[in-house]
Amino acid sequence: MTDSVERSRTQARTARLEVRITPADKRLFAQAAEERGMSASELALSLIRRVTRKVGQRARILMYSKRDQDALIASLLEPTKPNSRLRRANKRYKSSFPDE
Amino acid sequence: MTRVQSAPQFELLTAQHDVETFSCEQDSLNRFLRNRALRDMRSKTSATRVLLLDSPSEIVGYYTLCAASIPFDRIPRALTRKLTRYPTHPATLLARLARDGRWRGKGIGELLVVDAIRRAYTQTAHAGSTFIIVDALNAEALAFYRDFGFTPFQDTPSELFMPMSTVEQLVR
Repeated sequence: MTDSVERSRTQARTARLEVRITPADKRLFAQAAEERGMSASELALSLIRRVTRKVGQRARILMYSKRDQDALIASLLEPTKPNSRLRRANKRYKSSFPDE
Repeated sequence: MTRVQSAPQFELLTAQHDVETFSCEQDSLNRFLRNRALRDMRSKTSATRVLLLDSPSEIVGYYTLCAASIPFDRIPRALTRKLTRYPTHPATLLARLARDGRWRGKGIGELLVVDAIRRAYTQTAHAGSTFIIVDALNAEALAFYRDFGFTPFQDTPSELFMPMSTVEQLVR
């Protein structure tokens, strides 16, 4: 896949997610959705969102915006030196904890 | 510049430490230490290290580290050779850091930060981690971490990062 195709796909305003389920599951699902006053798709989406967020938090997946991701990458390419405040604190630390 | 009088000591949290009397300005951080920290240690979800001064049980300050990951939408192809082709980077989350209110103004916070980032760096030898991420609870905490060279995220301004390579330069 070329970069431009990759980009145009991720930038599309919506994307499709298809799932095959058994007719029995589908009937149960439609009933539950009706109970909530939602369409089956809305119910599915709200459940997927909720579970995804929970899984993300539990697995400590830290999500950042595109420009923040760029800042992270830039910091790897050009490592910043520890600033003077940090170096001073490190010096004091080393004299307080010679064994660490 | 010795603001701390007696020989301080860092230890991993155990049941021998007095979590009940620890008190900082943020109650959520007191509650975490009292109710959660030891359980998280046992389940290996996070590791809490405490700073002790004159007493072997009195906690002057503590911090908690845990593993995290940062997914990238796409790492520019030109950089995958230099960085990694994996679109997810391992990171170390400095999830909590607190010092007891009675020790305010003694430079405890900087000892905690330095121990935390040095520990985070040490464990990269075994598990790998490219960034340290901190979550600042308020504006004061944010200013505190900025002071040590952490960079705030533009769109998640309560969180800041420091590349592990910066710590490497400090430790080396």
